[in-house]
Amino acid sequence: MLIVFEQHIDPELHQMIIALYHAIKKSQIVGLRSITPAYSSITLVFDNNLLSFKYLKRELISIWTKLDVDHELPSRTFIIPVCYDIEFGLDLDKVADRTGLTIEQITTLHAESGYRVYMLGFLPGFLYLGGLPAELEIARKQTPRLSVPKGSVAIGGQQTGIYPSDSPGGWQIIGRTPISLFEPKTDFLIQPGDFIQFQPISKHAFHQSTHQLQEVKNEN
Amino acid sequence: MKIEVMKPGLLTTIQDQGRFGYQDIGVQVSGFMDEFSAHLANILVGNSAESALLEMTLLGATLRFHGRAQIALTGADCRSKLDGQRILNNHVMNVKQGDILEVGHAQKGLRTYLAISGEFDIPEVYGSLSTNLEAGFGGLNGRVLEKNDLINYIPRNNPASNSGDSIDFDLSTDVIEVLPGPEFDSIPEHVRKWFFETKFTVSNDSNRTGIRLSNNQMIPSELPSILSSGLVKGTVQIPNSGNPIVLMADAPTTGGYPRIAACTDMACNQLAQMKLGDSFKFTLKN
Repeated sequence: MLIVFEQHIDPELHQMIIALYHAIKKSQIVGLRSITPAYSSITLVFDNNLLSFKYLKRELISIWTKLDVDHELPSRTFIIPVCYDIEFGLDLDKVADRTGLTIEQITTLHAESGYRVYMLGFLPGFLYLGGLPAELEIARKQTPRLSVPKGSVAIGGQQTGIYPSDSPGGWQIIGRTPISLFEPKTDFLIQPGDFIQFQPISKHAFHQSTHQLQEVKNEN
Repeated sequence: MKIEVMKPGLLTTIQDQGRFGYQDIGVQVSGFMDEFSAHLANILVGNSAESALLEMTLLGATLRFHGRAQIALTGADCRSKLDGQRILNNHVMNVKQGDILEVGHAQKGLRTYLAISGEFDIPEVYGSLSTNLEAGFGGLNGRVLEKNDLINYIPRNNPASNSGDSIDFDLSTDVIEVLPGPEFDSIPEHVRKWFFETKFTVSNDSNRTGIRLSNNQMIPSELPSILSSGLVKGTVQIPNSGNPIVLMADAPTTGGYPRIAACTDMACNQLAQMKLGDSFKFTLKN
């Protein structure tokens, strides 16, 4: 079952999707096998031997009408160190060419912004981040790379993201994080609705001993 | 009991019904490609339909059983042999200590399923024993079987004995049934018409992630992409290159290409048995 909203990337719309996603998760409907939130939709997979489409629809409408979007949802901010050195930023030259910015301007702009985690998909642990400054928007590569190194930080269209493992990929690579974002069998910490801040580090720092994913503790 | 891999076959993996509940962090479902054949194999040996078994592709494995067991082979017929004797698919057989099972080359169809009464003694990852080849976890260390692998298995001995009866199941088809996908209505009419009228052929790079197709009628011009949204097994996308892809077990959980159709469960099973060069037409299910 696919729940669809207006098709655009919008923080307020997303906030509602996250609220709905958490509410559906909490409801523990028997027969519901998975819930995949995305930018402006939620995909549900259910076992139709245990749950009928009609029943599921009724339950969802009930959850929707009772939904309190303003209710404080758990949301965390994480800092991810990134090295924007040309050794890791394989497409930095290309991005500079297309945008007319210098490499320094590109990396400053990228690191200054705070990013909202809209969804995870494509690969285990691949984060889709929104909030990319308009000046950095750049089309995907015509021919995707067959192998993008693990940890690569990249830009594709209006989105920015991090490749959690070696994989094929068509986004423009501007840096790399030394953090291992996804390890199977361990809990994956970052959720849709969380925030990411990139922290520039030097090449020397990159090659230092293990970096950890840091959470920013809010003093609210 | 240990199962010894004497020959691994072309692409043999441990798969069960799949890994559900983690799609929201991007973990693919994996699991059986041809559910019909997999369920049948499991039921024949008295396992629950969703249990883990071995899925073999095109060229099957040769295994030595270091213990007694009951097994069943389903899916593509590979002219297999047990202890040197020709055996048939789709019935339960007794295996004794030291027996060698040779699963050969698929004659018709592509994937063969070997179920063994009992269960694998391997760790679960995210609640499933399925192998995620893309991400490299699950099943036997996230990879295909290799020569000299020794797989730990806990057999369950049923009272059933060799059953001589074997029923034939034929999953071959030249018609794949689909339902309209989420973006069906927003895809131009002439593309929808092409989609249902054209004969598509299974092409290179078809694998557990997706069945890639080719055709010699037309390549539609680039369709507008959608905001990344959820994908499930059987979703048919029209990517930028134009020819449709049918997403299968190891498909990514989300994608940005328009979803023109969704294959029925049986259509997915039929597609799982198609080889390079096989062709078919899509048809809208009533």
